[in-house]
Amino acid sequence: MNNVQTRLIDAAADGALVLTSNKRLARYLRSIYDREMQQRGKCVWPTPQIVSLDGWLSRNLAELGESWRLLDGFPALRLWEQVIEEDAAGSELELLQLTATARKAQEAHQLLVEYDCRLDGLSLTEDQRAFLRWQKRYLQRCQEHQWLDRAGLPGLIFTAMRNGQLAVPGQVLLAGFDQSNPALQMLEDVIVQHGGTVRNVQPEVDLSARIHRHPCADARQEIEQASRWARRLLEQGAESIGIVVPDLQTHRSRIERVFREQIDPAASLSMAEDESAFSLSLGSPLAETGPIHAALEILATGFRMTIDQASFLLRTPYLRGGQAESDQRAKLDVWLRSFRQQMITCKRLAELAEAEAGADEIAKCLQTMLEGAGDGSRRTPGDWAGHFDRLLLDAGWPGERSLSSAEYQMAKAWQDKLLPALASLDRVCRPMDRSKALSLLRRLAGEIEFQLEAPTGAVQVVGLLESAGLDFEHLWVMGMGEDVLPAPARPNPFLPIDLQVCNQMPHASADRELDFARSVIDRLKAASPDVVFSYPLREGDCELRPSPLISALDPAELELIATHDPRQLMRSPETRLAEEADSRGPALTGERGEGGTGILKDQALCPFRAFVHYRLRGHELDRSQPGIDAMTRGDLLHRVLEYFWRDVGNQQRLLELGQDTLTDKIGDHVEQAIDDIFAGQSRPAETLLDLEKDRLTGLVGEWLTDVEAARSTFEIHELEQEHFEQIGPLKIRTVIDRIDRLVDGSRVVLDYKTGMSKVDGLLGERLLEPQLPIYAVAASDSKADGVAFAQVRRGDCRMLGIARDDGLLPKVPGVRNSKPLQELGVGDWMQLLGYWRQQLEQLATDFVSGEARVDPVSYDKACQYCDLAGLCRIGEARYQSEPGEVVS
Amino acid sequence: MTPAPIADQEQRAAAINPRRSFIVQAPAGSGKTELLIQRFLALLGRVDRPQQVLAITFTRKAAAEMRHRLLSALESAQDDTPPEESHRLLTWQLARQALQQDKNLTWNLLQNPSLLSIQTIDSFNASLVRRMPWLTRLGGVPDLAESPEQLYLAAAENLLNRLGTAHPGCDQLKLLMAHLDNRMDRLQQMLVDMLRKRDQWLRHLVGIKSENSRCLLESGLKQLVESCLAGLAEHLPAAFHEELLACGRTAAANLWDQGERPLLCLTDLDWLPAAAVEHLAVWQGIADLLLTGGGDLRKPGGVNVKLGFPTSDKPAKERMQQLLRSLEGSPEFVSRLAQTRELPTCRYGEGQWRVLQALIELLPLLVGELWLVFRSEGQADFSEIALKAQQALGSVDDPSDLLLKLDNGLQHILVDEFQDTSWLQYDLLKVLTAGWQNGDGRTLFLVGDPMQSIYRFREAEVGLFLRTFQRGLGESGVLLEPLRLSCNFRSQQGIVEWVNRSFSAIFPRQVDEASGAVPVAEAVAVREVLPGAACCLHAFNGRDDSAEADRVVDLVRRARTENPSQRVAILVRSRTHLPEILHLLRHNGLSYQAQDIDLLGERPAALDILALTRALLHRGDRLAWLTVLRAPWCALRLVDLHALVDGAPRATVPTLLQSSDRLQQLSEDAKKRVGRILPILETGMTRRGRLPLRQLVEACWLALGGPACYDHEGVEDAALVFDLLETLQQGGDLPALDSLEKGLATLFSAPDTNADASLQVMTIHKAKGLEFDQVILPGLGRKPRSGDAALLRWLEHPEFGLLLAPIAPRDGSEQDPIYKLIGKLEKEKQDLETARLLYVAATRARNRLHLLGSARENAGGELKPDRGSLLETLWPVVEAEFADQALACENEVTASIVLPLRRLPLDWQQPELTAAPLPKVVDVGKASDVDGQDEDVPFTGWEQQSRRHIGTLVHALLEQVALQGIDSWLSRDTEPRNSMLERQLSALGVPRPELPVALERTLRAVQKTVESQRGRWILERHEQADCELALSGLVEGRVIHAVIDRTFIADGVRWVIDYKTSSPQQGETEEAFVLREKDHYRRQMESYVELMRAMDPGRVVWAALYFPLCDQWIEYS
Ligand code: SF4
Repeated sequence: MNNVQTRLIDAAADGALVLTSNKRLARYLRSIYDREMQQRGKCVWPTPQIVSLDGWLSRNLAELGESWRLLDGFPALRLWEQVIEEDAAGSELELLQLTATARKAQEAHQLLVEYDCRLDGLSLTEDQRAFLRWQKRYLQRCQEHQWLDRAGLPGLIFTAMRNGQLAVPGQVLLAGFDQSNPALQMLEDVIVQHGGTVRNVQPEVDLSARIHRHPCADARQEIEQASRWARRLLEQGAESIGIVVPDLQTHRSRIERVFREQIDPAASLSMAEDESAFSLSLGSPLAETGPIHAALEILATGFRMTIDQASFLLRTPYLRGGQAESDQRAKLDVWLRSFRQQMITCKRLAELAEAEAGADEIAKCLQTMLEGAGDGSRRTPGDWAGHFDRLLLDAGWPGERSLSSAEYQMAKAWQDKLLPALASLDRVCRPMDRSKALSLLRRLAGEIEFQLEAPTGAVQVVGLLESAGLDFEHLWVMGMGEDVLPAPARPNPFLPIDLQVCNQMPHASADRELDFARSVIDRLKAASPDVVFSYPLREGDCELRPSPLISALDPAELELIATHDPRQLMRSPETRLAEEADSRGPALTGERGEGGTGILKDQALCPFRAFVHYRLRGHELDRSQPGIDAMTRGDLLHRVLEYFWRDVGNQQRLLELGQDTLTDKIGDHVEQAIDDIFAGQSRPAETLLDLEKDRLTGLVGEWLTDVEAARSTFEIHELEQEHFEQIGPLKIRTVIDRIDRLVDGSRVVLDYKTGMSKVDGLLGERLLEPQLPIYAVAASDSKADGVAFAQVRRGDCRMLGIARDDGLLPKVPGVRNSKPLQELGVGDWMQLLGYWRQQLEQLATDFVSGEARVDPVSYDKACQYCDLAGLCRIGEARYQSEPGEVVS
Repeated sequence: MTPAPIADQEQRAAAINPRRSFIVQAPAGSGKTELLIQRFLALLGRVDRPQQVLAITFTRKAAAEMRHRLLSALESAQDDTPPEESHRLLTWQLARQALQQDKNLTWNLLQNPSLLSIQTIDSFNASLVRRMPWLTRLGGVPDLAESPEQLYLAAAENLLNRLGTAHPGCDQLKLLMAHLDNRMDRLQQMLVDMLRKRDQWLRHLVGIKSENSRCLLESGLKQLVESCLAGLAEHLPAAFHEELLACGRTAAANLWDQGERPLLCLTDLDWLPAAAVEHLAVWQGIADLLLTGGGDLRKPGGVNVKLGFPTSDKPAKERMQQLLRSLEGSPEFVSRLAQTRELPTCRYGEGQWRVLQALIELLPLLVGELWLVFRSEGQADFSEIALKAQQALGSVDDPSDLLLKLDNGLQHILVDEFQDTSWLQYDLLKVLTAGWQNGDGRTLFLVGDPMQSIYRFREAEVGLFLRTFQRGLGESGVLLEPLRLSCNFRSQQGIVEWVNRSFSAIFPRQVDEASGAVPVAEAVAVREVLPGAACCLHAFNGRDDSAEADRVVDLVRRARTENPSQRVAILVRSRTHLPEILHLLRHNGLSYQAQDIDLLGERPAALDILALTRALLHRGDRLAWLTVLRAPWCALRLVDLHALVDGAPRATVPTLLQSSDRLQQLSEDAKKRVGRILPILETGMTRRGRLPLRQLVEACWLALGGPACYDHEGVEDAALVFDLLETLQQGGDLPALDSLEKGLATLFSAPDTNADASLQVMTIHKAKGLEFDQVILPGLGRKPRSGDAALLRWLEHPEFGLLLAPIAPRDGSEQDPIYKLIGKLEKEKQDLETARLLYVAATRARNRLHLLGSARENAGGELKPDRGSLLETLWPVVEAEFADQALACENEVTASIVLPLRRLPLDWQQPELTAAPLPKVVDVGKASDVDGQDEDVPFTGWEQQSRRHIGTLVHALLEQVALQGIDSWLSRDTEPRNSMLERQLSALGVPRPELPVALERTLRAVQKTVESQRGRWILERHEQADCELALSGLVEGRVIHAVIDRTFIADGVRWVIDYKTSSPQQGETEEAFVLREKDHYRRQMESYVELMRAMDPGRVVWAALYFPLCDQWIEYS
């Protein structure tokens, strides 16, 4: 206890009133008081009168019986927002940040009241004139309801004291006020008038104190060094260590983490926050905690949702059945994603869940949410609060896991803090619809802080303002960069600058900031006999300078304890990883390969890929695409062409169809294809489908007229027929899009492509497009005289491939005229088939044997479009510093 | 010693004259920062307030550096001894004057450095917004979006969601979708691209919404086309006019029945076409006559019947041949003529206009959607801030109030890197200086080097520098005196000379504002020439990345041997040109610092964490689970992975891991490995939601032994991934499963801080403003990736205004000539910028420069650089040498890689982790939390809250009654009293619909109490009575803070009474209720009694609960 505190405690014990700048300091002084009383051997004592100034004012208001008049916190802010909104109504753009504006306006109002200033007669900017309008409206509303705001509170209370309505305290001590302000001035006047005394107790720098500055490379290093400094002090038995951080909000989570890592490293591995003996409990917005986030998501579920919203509901543990049905729900999620659509209706999702075995609970939950979403009534926020709460209960929130103590506190904050905060808006809000209430709720959840309940420990981390009046054995003040103390002036935009400067309002000018900075630094210097001011030397690529107010201090010679960061400990001594060759899985038992021609394609691109995709069945989850995704569009096209040719059968009939009949026919098949493809899953919006129908009709028409009708006569031999082909040791199921028979009896195999196609994959050294060759070389009864990709693409419809001879297919060369084949030394069709067969068999043999080397043809062709880069660890090839030794 | 005056001494001296305004061209190495500092100091010495001088820099780094140097200058000027070097001396003198002014006017600059306004344009804009929250409609400076792309995407999605609704924009969207082959993904991406660049086109769209927009746009086009034609006509030598017309007539006459072709326009033509759009067809006819399809001048041998010159008409044919031969001397004419073929007719086609119109209508809606997205996120991007700041500031003619106020304050503006100014910034500057007059004491100072303008992709428009240099800022603005610095303090003479020589061949000769053509400004070296070649070419025949990489390594090695302390940089145009080189550097044990080179998303450590995150979040993500099992901490062999999942394609991996049958199939090694990690993963899964996601995943990763699995860099990478995870996480989950992956794709891994800083690897853009002893430029032969076609092309032409064209339909049809024309103009600008990029790269070198690049042999065996490559730009300079030098390269062979499985050894153990000793903390409690958690059964419905509020109010009322007497309650008028109570309840937080019930309950409680005998007794006057008595004290060793509702002495007994506003639950009897409550509050009441006994020793103390609502009384004995 330092001498300031002794004075405060003694005075409080004598019944004096101690007013503090904030609640934290009041709590702190009370705890010192308690300790002192214990030390004096007392078992009981009257609770001393140590309160924050705000608390004391409110208490007085209650005594006047008028506490109901006080419009404070969220309702007050909301009222400002409303008057601003009303003023802005009809203007072209809504304000981007309504709340921030309301805060500034509120602050301006407060300043005007506090400093007893008026804007009349001053020349104002447009912003300031707007403020004046808002303020007028705001005051009107307040008057109507007899509301009183924080700004008006001191005036009211002190007047009441003057009038004798309230008792005037005799002896008052002020603690933790860096600078005086008009309210304090008023307080002093009243009390002195009534013969009392007011003393502002300011700490004084102890001349023997050790006060140093300490440069650090960057903010990260500051935190790390502070934590190691603190650990060392703890090991030496220190009991109170203060860390003051000007920009606590930004660094909070890093500080919490790094201090935990250094002070209780095992806790950073434990995945259970509440188990650590060490806690800083710095708090975070309620909305960021698991249960509350889930609650907000559940409430936000509407008729339509994105796949990610659906996925959240399917995976969250905070719904009924979240544990028991987790496996089924995960699978449902995977299935849902396979539609590759961005949105799904809640109704459809519920239906799918109902159909899925073992997902009954989620189906019911979705039903509940759907009913909630349908509530179209208008209610007050408080009324909505009750509705929201009931919906959550019906959905089984907060789930069936037993709650950890942290979760318990979070869920409790929902009821004790969040919903009441929403209800408190009833005073200023009219009934509103559900979504508006929900957005208010969301906002409140984002603003209300959640702090795990934990006693104040030996290490305390506080912001610059909250540190007022606190006292530590050791103190580290971080982030003392050039623009922190003094900070650049930040006058309120709604008040003329001159007015602010003349009245010395906070932040009005650089001089004012410098004054303030000086008093803060002085008070920090007095807050401990051992103070370190640290500052970062750079941020990103910018060099920084220390605050000029500390740059003259001596540099500290800190002894830091060796790091306890588990990361570092795990790396020293460096572990040598064992390395071994592992590029082969077990051989395939049985000869059937599941997966068709894709197997060989992958095997050709990279053996590892084929192994994972077709033996381990590992794929990334499907990704949704806006509109109708490419794959579905491809499927649709295949379908339409299949239906069409099933119907029409040969080129002759195609040519006989008149233009109108043709278009009608195509249209019918398009309708049919769309109905069939989207049957079992989720049907996209009709507008999209209409566009797609038009597109398909046009495209198919273009293809049929430009290519099919113009080529030499053919008839359909096979359509989408399933085959089982034996390739070396492997039997593969293939579906051939189409085989045509030409007049001379030759057959050509076609594969539809909707993208830009290239023949390279057929004719290169590695066979990257095996599906056509597989059929061509198959030993079965078929025989093929040409293979081609049928590229069905707007404005670019054509065939690309290779044939026994020229002229079988439009613009498809015969083997003899193919340049790449000449380079390969392939001279005729039979040779080509032989070449293909050999390649295919090699691939098949490799696959069957379990060959799984990580060996992509090239980055561009294979890895760029591969989902396995994480599993195959190809990155290691690139980033490993030295080639590893391989043990077989 | 006074050194000889340097070449540009006079210019430098002029530049710090604080009374005059200048625009300064300051080439690479000319020491312009020092000049800026000197001027800033000189200005400080004259102004009333330091804020009257504003310096605007291009980057935060530059701002920080300038501030740093200014303050250092001021600090060292406190020292009375002048420095010796002359340029320092000047700075010192100026700083002394500034300090004097500081002292005279008591600014206290050194204590209050924030008085110096040195800002980036972004922070300056932000400061405007801060002062105009309402006028800008931003409501204060918004948070900057970390990834604005996501927000653009959301806006595009929202716009696209209007499809199929009745909202405005739906029809336009339909039109565009059809135009783009129904590719919504493409459209979405294009919209996103448009949003990214909206600061460029937005202001145009506002102007062209009106009806006559088509006219306006078409007239701009017309002017453009006509200016091209004018240039063409000018280059047609007058001597050939007659010949040309005659040949044209002949050809046309002979071909009139041979089908449509352009030259038929020449039929009977006896006048030369003018530079008018209407005559475009005629010009195209001439092109048809004179040029081949490829755009070259026809060879005389090619004049034949097909061209309308049959051999039968020999004189005509010869005439034509003669004409062609003479035209060979006019290549400029030929190339311009070729261009006419591509010129548009200046009228939009109907379909095209519909699309353009749809875009013009749709894009503002898109911007509106973006605003809504910004609003809901409370974030915005730089552009928004700039756009809004400027809008609010007003224009030159219509200034806002704030501008007028600013105007009094701002006296001098200094702008650095003026060559990279965008239109938006240019306009801002114009507005800020509107009304400034030369000689009125206010000055403007612009510095930059147009030769180093390389930020076109960020809207930099070098033409603005050129314009300002020639004509000053705006029409009526301040006149700027142009100054040129020429001394180069950086590079040795050899380099300077090479640069002078090369770039006079590479850069255009003429200034052209429209295309941004900047001729070379030759520099004068201050440093003397060094022995040896200053610039070395390393030529390769055919692209071979590994051969080039070998050479790079070799050069680095040589540089090291030559002088180990010299700083070497490897600069590339794109980071994708680096993998081979970096790989080889590592392989050879050469450590380097690489900035923004490696994508985090490609690093194994990052990918492992990605998989771990996804596995913890999603049981069904099979690939993620397999990856977790394969990562070094577990590293299952393929055989074991297979055994685990074989035959169960639909099962989730965690389920399989929990099946003992499955686990039995695994090898012993795998069993142990799985046994080690499975409990960790299971804990991780069950703790989901309780911890922030970052903390959960990181803890899991640490528990798995993650850090032991990678090298130092891997652990650094991991730290970045976790930081990213933290910014993305939402309530223990991710906003979307792939958001982490997407985030990783945009981040770079951190530079290796342990690495040797004397070898740096970066892109040329990053190297701007830096210098190195040796600079190695590999990959000059590589061409850049081509960008996607934009939805809309636009160009702001200095003379012809806005040019606009929409993308062609995706149906394979011809690209539209207007779209193409704008594309061509853009390409022209781009090519000029490429040359400047090369200039920037070359001028980084102090001592030596190495150029590495490959060209390819064309069909004729000639070496040619790839189109668009830097080598192509450099070609005129190196062509001759290149052919001599070039080494033929083997065709690229990709060596097979052997990738071993890396495994954390089975016997690996966590290091011992010890906690620091923590002192015991004493817990302070309220008396009511003695019972801990289950005080109320939570989550049974929210009605409890209203009860609590009723309780609070009843307590307060009872206190009042006790203090003021029962009559005070009874005597009040019920009407106003009740409405007051209702307000109080409402203020406490009782929802409006529940007010009547709550009021009734409150009244009932008080009423019952004052009516009951017991109640009256409690509230009556008593000896030593107190309400809400606050006591502290020790109970069972704990400090307790208690507030006792009512206490007094009656009949010698000290009563401690607590009010409880609960009542029996439904179906509960009063007896049961009383028992339950008595039990429930026993501990609390006991502690009160204990406190009271200590307070009033020797007195009998009794405790009791009183239930106002049901007038129940429970005594504890
Ligand atoms: S990323 Fe490349 S190396 Fe890895 S599996 Fe895919 S193709 Fe093979």
